[in-house]
Amino acid sequence: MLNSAKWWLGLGWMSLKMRVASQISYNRWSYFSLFIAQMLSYLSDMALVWAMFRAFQGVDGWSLYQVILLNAIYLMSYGISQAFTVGLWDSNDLVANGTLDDYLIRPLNPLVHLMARNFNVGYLSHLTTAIITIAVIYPHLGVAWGVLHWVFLAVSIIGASLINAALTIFPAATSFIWTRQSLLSLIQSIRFSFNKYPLGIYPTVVRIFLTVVIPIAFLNYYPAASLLGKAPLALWPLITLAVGVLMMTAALAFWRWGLARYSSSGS
Amino acid sequence: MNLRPYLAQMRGVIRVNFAYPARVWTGLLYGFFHIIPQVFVWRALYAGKDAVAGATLPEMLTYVVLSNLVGFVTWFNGASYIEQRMKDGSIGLDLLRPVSMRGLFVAANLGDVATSLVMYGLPQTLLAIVLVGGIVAPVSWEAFGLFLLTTLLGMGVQICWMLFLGTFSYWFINTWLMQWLLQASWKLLSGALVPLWLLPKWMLTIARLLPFQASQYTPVAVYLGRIPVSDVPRAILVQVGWIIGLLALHSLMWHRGIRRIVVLGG
Amino acid sequence: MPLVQARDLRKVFIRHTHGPGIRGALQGLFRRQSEPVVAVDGIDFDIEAGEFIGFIGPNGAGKSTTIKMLSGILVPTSGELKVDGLVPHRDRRINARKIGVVFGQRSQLWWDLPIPESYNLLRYIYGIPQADYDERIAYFRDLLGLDEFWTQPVRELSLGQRMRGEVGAALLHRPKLLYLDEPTIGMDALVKERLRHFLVDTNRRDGVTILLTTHDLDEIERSCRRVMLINRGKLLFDGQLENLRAECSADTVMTVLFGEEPPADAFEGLQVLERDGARVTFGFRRGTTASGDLINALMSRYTVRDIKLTEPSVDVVVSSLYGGGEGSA
Repeated sequence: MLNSAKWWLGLGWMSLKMRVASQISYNRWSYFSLFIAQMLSYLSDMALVWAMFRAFQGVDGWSLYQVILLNAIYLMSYGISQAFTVGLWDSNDLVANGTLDDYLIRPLNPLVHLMARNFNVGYLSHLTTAIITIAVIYPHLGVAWGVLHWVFLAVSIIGASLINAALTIFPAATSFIWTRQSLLSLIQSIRFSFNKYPLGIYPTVVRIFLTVVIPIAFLNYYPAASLLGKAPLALWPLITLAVGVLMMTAALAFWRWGLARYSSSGS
Repeated sequence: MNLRPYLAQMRGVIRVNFAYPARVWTGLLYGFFHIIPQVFVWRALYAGKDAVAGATLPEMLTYVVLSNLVGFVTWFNGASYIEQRMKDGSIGLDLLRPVSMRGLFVAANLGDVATSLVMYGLPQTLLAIVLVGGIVAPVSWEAFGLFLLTTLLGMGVQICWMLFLGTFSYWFINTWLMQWLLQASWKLLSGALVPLWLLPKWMLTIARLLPFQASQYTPVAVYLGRIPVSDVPRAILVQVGWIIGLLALHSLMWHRGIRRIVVLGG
Repeated sequence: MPLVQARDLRKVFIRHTHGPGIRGALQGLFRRQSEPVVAVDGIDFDIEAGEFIGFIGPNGAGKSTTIKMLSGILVPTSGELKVDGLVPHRDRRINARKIGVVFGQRSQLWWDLPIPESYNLLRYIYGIPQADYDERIAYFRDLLGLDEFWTQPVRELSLGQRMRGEVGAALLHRPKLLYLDEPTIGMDALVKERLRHFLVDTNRRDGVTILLTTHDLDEIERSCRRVMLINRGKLLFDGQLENLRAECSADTVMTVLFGEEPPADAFEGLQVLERDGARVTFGFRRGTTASGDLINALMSRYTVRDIKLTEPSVDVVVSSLYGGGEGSA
């Protein structure tokens, strides 16, 4: 009994309307102010890079603005993926308090249901921040992008969003093993700390780790290298997309395994 | 004053903090992941340079290590707890108890600070020192002593800031926006991630209007001699000024708030 | 064939523990101790279509675990379970269409929105035809009295109002089976009565098979003819409510407040369930002892301040099924 993509979109749309209505039922402005607040917070992250780098010429062959582009690309894929996977952030609560049961008593795939029900349009703030940032720094990048560049930017972001989503689903599923803990915040800290600067600043072992073990270098570093002419244009965006599909498949398999484990040994 | 309930509170918090093993391990790793990129980015930035804005690479790396450590001591969280209890009126119940709710709250925070310092702060600092290859010594023994003193005072500033913010939020409706704004300015202007000497003048001016640099930047700057020993009394005066000012504002808003809660019933 | 069939159904959990104090917590960082906890310990039962069953037992007896196995949320450790010919956890999604579940502790309604919003989403999820949906809604609004709070957000509803909404949500898609896990905790008598009336009506009208979990005997008194009593994972009793009464050494509980604390050996020959200073709780059987006689006997010997007669709680029933309880003669 598989529901069609159209059916799921319908469910997502209904839930989205209900979620926004819920937020607005408290305070019309709180939704808006959260939006502004998040934008400010991420813009200040960009400003932080600026403050650090302004007295220096750049790092590992990347100029200040190229480093900011790295951050903007990451932010965009993070925002897109989180809009879907934000419901998984309560994975401890889902398992320990049994909120997951509310999904399991429905005739639906619980993971897709969870994503559809918690789809959050608030992550538009990440997208907006990233777009504003790219618009501001583009003249300073010293590049002239053609249509193909923008297409590959889009391909990169789709691939990176898949990787990012997998990097939320996988650690969230570890809640099935540990009930009250998960690897979520750990993965979160890795992707937010190691993504800020070009991969070249790290020793080889860290570079391999960030490429193979927790491949967050694909979220921005490799695609950006292609887009900035440091590597062949089509190369990294396409590899990023492939890595994204692969990781998503693996993460879904792990989730299914964890769910089966939850049902057989969880409380 | 009977300190026993407060000490019990601290002990309780410490015990709870140890209760979830995986959380401890992930927290430890979290800290490593936080500091490693900082060390490597400064190294890469300094490639081929001796000194930037008067600071050498070893000094810069020392700054990173110590600023991170000081952050553990001056990290106080949970102004929203006070705000919440004032907003839902449960503060009325707290007032009936023989112990001070604010005292318990500060004790709980001290417990948090103690645990995170031992569990995360020290291991993280050791790793960072190894990674950096040893930090530079303090400019003098006096500077080291004053580093410890200003750290303690920084802790005081941060406690008072938290109390202030808790009551401030009670009086102002849109706390979300304010909190994110404060978080953003903390990141940029406290000196936690970028030493203030690298900031442009106009940002420094804003930084001085906020208490963050007094708790976060001052101790490390004293250690490194960026604030010479002769100027330290002034820096301490600024810290004490923040403590007194924030406490005064806090108690003003606190007593007003209590009166409103008691008279109007929440 | 019965609608539900359970044979030697078992569920064992693994629980992790650590020693006391900071020391124990520190040790817990390096090694975890684990122990098996038997939640359901080999139970057998059949449920026929159209039954209304009270599933009772003290907290932690294994009621919720059983319901979760019936819903397909949990996989049994061993034993067999079939619901309408299917193994629930294996065909979880098909099974989900046939069942409605209410967890008393949690809400399945959207907290900040009025009830119809949640219902509308469920209509979409279950693909309920509009005409059928309208008919259901009309029935619920009438009999569950949802009209009184139809436009209010769920967060503003009282516990009883919310629970009526939850029951409606669970029945929207016309399930064959309805599992109610402690739906009436913390509700007042009037609301309970209304809910009971509705459940009985639904059971008769639509033939919905109902399994009502509770630790409150009163509640099932007038709705369920059949009772299953579970304690520590074992099914202690399965049959008519009257027979449960007959097997108990006490079907009535009397709490007496004396003028002063009576001597320790004062109540030789009486079943004392609890003693707390001057307050003593007796259990007795209505058939063999008249409450009037008992009261007279007590009043002739001691000063009696207050007397309260109640139905026995499920704990009393459980302890009296276990060899007649501690205080019996």
